[in-house]
Amino acid sequence: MILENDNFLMELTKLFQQQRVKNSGSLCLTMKRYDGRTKPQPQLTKKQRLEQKQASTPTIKNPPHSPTTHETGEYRCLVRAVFGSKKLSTIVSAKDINRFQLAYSNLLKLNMDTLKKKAKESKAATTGQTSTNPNSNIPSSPIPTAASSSSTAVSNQQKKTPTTPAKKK
Amino acid sequence: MFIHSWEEFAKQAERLYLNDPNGCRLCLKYRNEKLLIRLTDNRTCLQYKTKYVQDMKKVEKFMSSLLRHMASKEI
Repeated sequence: MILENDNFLMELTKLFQQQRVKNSGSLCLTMKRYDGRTKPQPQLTKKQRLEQKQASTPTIKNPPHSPTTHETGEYRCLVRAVFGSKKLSTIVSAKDINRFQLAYSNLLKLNMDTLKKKAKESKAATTGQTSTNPNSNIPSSPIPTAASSSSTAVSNQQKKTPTTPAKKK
Repeated sequence: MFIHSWEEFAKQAERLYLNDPNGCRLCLKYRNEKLLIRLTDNRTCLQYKTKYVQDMKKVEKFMSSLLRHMASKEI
């Protein structure tokens, strides 16, 4: 189903919503350069291949598809989306590319939000927590004594820090 | 062929695409909490898989530049 750019984006958001509701299935987006051909180029038959081999020099002079694309001069971009059995596609021409690209990337950003956030930082944070945890566990026993001596939290921390390396040593 | 680092993927993908802009396609597969990006020209296939939002941003940047190039006059 070939749609206009705006309609395509609208339908695509619907697909994302469906996916979210179902919570299953994968959504495929494809993009490729589009030069006006709707059918694939037919493969050469054996005869043709043999002919090409025998007369290799004249075939080089007229490569089959490059002239047509050069005549049009401008390429367009074909974007497809498939979710389950639903298929959408649109063709973006060069003059619409700015608008479409902005809208498209915004849409993807909005809808691909189940991805995990901050991989490296969270990993670093967890490692930092695990490294601090044993330290905090070790001085956990002197904490009540320090608290009973009615000292400030800052002094507690200052007391903890020198004690832990001393214990480690 | 899976490529594990994004930089490597972007580099190779760009080379593959520029080698044959008409025969390449870029696929994005989004499944809950996973994103797979694939660039292929039916001979070699480059794939990159991610779970994280930061990579999503890079993917999106790469994709929009590719989209621009696909719809431009350049060969």
